[in-house]
Amino acid sequence: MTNAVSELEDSDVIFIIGSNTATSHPLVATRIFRAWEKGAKILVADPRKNQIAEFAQLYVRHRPGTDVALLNGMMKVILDRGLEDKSFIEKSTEDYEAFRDLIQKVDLKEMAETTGVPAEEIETLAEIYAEAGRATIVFCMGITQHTSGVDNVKSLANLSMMTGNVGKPGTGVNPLRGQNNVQGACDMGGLPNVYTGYQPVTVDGANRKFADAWGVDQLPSKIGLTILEMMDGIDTGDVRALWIMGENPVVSDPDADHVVKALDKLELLIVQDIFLTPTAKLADVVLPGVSFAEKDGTFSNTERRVLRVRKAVDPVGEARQDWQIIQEISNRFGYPMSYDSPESIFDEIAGLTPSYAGISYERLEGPGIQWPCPAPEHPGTPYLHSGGEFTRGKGLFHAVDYRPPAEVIDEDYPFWMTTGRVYAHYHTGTMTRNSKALAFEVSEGFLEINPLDADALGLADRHWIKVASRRGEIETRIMITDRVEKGVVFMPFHFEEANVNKLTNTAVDPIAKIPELKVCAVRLEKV
Amino acid sequence: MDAKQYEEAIRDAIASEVEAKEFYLEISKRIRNDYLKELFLGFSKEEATHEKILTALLEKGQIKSTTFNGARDYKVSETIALPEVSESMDLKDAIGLAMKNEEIAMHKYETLAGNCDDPELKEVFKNLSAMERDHKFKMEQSFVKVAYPEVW
Repeated sequence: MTNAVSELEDSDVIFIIGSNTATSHPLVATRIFRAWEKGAKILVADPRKNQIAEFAQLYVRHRPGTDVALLNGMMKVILDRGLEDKSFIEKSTEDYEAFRDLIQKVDLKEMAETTGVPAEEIETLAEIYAEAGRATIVFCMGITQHTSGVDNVKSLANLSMMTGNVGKPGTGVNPLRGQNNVQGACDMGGLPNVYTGYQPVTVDGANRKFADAWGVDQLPSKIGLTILEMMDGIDTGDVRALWIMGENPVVSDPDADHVVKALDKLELLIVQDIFLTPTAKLADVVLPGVSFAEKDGTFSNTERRVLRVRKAVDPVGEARQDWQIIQEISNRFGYPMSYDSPESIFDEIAGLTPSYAGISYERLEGPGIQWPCPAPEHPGTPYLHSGGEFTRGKGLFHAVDYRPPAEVIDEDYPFWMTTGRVYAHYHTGTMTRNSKALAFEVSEGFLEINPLDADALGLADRHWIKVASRRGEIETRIMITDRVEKGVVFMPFHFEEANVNKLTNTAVDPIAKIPELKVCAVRLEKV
Repeated sequence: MDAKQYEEAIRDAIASEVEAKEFYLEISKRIRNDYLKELFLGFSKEEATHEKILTALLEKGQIKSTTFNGARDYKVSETIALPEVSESMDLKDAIGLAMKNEEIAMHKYETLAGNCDDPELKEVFKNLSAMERDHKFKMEQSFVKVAYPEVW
């Protein structure tokens, strides 16, 4: 996030796009509700009418995968009405002209047709956002899990910069992470191409520093594989063993049948998790790790805040601390590790990671610290780009044209499918479905369908249907609701027995390599 | 401290500011990136402002202990090595260079204060050190904005 979660309370306008905030990030939603109570206007754009949309000044339901069209339409209105922040653009940005030229050519009526959102509503969205003193953008995987995910984020950055809503409290472009410590995992180099703190593996200086710290002659400078590339690598024989920690790709990854086939081909599959997940069931070796309640350490949340987590109960059964499992295996592989605590590991992190260099367990007593925090005397950084200064100097506009999703509806597959979460469950349900109370709340998967579509197919609530895409098919019950519009269906991805990711598309964003989990084309048949 | 000692200390400080002003001006001419060209030109102007402040102090003939606020210090500069000057240096190194130069100047006056037996002259050097610490602090704020991008 460019800004802190608490700053949402002081925003005048909160534009939520591709985020089911009240369900997936209830604590963030609390801040938004407080802002709403103080008079802030909430704008929501989402293909599915979610809970927070009930509080919106204006909710628009754009078709899945048409985010850039909606945003370009809004920016066209802002330009036409002269609502852009000329002074901010002049002082703090560059490449504006190419962006402006593209937006000037945008046809609002065409954007309305593409998105399914009336032109008048696009105009109102644009006016409310651009005329606010402090407008902020909140988004989530509804923006990123597309083949145009990077374009979507660039368009949000364009919108934010052209109205000067960046570098000030209560503004910014704020992605909500899908899990509590995704930010921390990325910060720690859980990516194919970087060490901790986003230090590239291809840069000599970083390689040398880490090699020296770890007492080895050299470290590889080759960029690794993304998760979908790993699955393809198994197919081609380039990947023969996999060690999966706290991840359940059999349920979470697109084209799940292909994932199962790929994992079956491995010579060795190790899964380290807290429950015997569908992925762990395929493993040669299962290593029982610990839950959040059984461990000491840190989480880094979506606003870059590093927080302590403290052990509340001893590990259950044969479970061991994850860091101890890694250390013991490393020792047996012949690379000795001798950390004596999570704190000693954190001290090494701080020593090797400039953005964490000023953080220590001692300083983490209390509300935590937001990085960058490069020295012990530094207080941390609540919001980025203050004074309109960006990490590259000036903020760069991108001229982004609308591209349709990789897969669109046709005669054979006439429904748009989109996916998401429900309030009672978390991700692939490996934890929450083990809770009797939560399983009671929502016990099985389902497909949301508009009443008009249900009528046309002769379906009643809770009927079973077969859902098929070009990749696979599943059966599930239906829930008839006007949360989705005619021609669009929604399924939560928590349920392995009705695994919507058997249907989703493996097409990826060309830059971020994120799969298009939020849009595919499906066919429905009454069972 | 006699008037001559005071004058000598301030004149040395002015000379350092002039040297820094010309150094940044020279870099601004050499560097390729337009944004950095402007940035270094800005650094040069900032040093010219420091020069003016010190010149005024020279004419005044005295320096008060509260002239400069040097209390704030994140000590970020101390975490990096002095970047090398090159025509293709990036923004992080450009600001890092200026930040590091302020740190070097701050330490110079700290050392002079430490080695000075005259209490009044010691106070002058402490003040100059505080001035440089404040300049360093401002550079550190800018450095933190650009040096730790979440890019992968």
